[in-house]
Amino acid sequence: MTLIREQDFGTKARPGPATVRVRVDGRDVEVAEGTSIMRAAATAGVEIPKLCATDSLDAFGSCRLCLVEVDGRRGTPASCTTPCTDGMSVKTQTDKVQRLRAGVMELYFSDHPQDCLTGGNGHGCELHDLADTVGLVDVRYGQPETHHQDAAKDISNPYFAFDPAKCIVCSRCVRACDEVQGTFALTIAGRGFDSHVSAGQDQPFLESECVSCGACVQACPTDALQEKTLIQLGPPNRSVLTTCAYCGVGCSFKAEMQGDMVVNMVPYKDGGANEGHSCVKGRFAWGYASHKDRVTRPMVRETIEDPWREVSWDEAIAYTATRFQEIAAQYGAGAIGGITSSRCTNEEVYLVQKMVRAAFGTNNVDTCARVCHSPTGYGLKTTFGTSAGTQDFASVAKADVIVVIGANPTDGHPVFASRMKRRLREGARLIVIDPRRIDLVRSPHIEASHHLQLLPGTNVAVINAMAHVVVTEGLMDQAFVDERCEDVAEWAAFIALPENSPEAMEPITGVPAGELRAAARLYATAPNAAIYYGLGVTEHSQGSTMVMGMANLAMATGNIGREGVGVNPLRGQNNVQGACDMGSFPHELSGYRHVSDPTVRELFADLWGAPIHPEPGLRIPNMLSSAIDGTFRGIYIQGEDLAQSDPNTQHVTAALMAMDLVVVQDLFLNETAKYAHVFLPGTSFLEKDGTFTNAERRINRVRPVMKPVTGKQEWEVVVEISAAMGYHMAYANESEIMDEIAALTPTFAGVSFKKLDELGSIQWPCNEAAPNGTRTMHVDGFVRGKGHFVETAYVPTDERTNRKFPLLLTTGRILSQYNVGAQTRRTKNNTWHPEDVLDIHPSDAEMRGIHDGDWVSLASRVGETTLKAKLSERMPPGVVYTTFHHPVTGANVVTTEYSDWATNCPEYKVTAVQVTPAPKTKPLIMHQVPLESTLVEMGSASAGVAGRRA
Amino acid sequence: MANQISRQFIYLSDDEAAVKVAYHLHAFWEPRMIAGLEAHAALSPRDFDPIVLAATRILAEQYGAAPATH
Repeated sequence: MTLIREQDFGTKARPGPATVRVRVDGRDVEVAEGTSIMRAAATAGVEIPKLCATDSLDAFGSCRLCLVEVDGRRGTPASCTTPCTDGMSVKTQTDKVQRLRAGVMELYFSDHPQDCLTGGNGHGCELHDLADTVGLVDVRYGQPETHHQDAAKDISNPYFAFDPAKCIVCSRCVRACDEVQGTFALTIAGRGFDSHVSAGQDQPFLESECVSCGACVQACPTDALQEKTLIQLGPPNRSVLTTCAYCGVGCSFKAEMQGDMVVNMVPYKDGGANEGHSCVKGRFAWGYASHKDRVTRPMVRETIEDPWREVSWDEAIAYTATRFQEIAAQYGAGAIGGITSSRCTNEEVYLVQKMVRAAFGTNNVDTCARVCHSPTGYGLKTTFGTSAGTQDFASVAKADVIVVIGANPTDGHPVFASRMKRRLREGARLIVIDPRRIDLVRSPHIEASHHLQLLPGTNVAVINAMAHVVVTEGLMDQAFVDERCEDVAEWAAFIALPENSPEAMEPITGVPAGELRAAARLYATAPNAAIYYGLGVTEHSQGSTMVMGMANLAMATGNIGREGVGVNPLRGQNNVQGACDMGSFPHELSGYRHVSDPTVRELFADLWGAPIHPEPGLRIPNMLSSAIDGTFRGIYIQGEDLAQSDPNTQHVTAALMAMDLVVVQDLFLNETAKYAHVFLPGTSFLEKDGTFTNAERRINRVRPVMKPVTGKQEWEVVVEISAAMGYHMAYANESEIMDEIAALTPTFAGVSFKKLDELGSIQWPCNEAAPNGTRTMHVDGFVRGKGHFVETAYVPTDERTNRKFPLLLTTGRILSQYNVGAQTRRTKNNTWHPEDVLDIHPSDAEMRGIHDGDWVSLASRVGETTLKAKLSERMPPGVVYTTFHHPVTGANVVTTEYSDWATNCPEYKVTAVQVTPAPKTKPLIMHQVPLESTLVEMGSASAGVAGRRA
Repeated sequence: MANQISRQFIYLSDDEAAVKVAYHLHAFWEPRMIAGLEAHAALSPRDFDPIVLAATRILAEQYGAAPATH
């Protein structure tokens, strides 16, 4: 059992082809020009003592421990701040240098608690280790006087403590907060012996701007900043490399353990997505995996009014299989289906969709990407040929102009946001397109050049207007489009029409034409311009159209096919990309190949030994509508809480109640489980063995730190249900499942657990043409051959405000909570966001007699709920905003069934509402409108019921 | 929903739009949904955009009558 300890080279690597040769303590080494002596020494295997230096931060030169002697130079320069020159000869262990180091250490310990010097409290304490290295056992300066020994410990943060008595004021925490995280929450206040780390304005950490990412804790060389779990449990004795189960960044972590018990999660420095950084969720909010709410035994019940009955796995599996077979026998295979989870591994997801297609005999399988990034799949496949983003996260470091549309990365993708902020601080320009003033618009050392604060529902109008500027002002990259694209002329003629101009669109979007023109010119004239977008693009009635509009703009300006550019979806969930890759959509098999393709069907049928239907199956919204119609009657739901996360809660719950069999596989009894007949306990990421694929197509390993507490891996349950239904699958382990995926999926052809262990991670496509994976897509050509321009006519949403519902509601996420909160609400992250609130502009509030903190009713045509109001000028008047992390709020009671025309991705971002003062009471959820009126005309089989919206 | 799809192709001629709508329905709609659309269109054609009605005719001609379900 071993702990993984990455080498710390002391200072950052220097990029560039030119090299210099240096000699360190007699060892020759060749390093990049500009490399520090410290890093060169580490590369040569010589560790120079250091306290203020660490290779995630710029050199600081304050601790004076890293002094060395250089032949031909006077003095003893700091090796961290001194660059190598060609032919340099360095000595790191001369008598002079050793005396200086011992003296420096003695000074440090003259103002430091004695127990660090003499006792065994070194949980990786570098100060303690260095005392041993320099041979320090006694301090000559009398009784050590710790100037901050009376300073109170700051234990305000639920996850870490700050003990000023142990702080050596090396500034690593301050610099980590600045350079790595980009929040600038910390500083060194005071002078001389009064110098101390200050959070905010000498506030407790919890009350300051600190976002609890843990970068300061990780950077601290002593025990001044320390995780509370380390204090409580003691040091770990082994590490397991795994991947975070929260957002689509997919940070790599070392799960540090004592036996089967997680002590802490430490970001892995060699993680491709995060490079040693993390956020509050992945770093600290993993305790939900052992929460008391966790269900570990299968349960069944005849009806949803009956109490749950715990049963054995054999009984649960037999019951599930028998019921699905009964329903299929009576109503046809089309009456059953399943939903795969974007929280589960690729291997688990692959087997659920295989079970549905091969064992159930239907293509009625879908995934929760339906409600978030399904328009990304449609739009990018149509224009570029691949249903995924074009770049890796590191690409942002080469961008000159960054456009953020409908995303809030500092909250939703914080580790990626830190990269983006670093580039912005270096001088890249920022354009934000969002109804809400997100933090990025103005934050420490960052200010957006343009904030296009459009009205919700007008994305396509804005992007078309920007493209209009590009075309009509001669800003197209004609050489690029002539060589690499098709249908350019038709698109250019369409986009140049006067109705697409910024001036014509201004009354619709609310964006001043001059501002929009300036933003478009900035994007189009940048050497490298990149678009990053989120659910504020996709969760609209024209979500797919908007994705194609962004792709058009990127192609028109030549911003595809190299670093620093691209169209980059910020995918929300840890494995939503993977779930889509694995063939979870009802119309596609793995690798995004349509079920109507006979060659593809034959490939799968041969290997699976079961035919594949040639027609698309039902999407989630269609499953729900068909359930109400009576033609869809049994569903297997893997790791998704439809009753909380899907729009129009009344419609969802009515559909679930209409079904004969609802099987839920999850960690906890969630809102959907209230309507379930079978509950199959799932496994957390700490128990899974498999892979996740993040937003940059990076396949990362998920390794178990403990056995499944349920007694079975989720994939084993799926295999057993299939077998009980007469379809047998045989896998010895998860690696064999990935081998099958690779055999069937060209973009995964070169992927295996063995290769992942060798390379760390792999970005697909990984095949003969790209044996180590692919960082940047469409470099020499688009996957579909030529990039395809699509005319993107702006069609206003059917959701309109009126006198009864005069405001527009849009929804989003907050840093500390995650999606429906199933995980984060069961951790101390509730400290920051214990409830969802309604952000309302002060002028809207004043008109309604609403004050900050008042209970308000939020009502739409379909439902009503109550929550507290928070006055905020982040939105313009007329727009309100809330999150959906707490089921008690029921935010989706008010969202409607309007959806994207191409994919049915719900239009969460545009709901006409009214806000009124409510009595001081607990949250109340009411359904406004009778169910029949909420059915959306779609050609329902029950033609008499399909109706109009009330 | 079908009407919403047809509106996206407003930049095309009616004939071209109908072809696009028919293709989209065939590629992404489950057979019972298409059958339901066809039944509804037959019962109440006024509920639909003429492009949608044309698309249902193209669906029947090019792809055959949709089975109720599979």
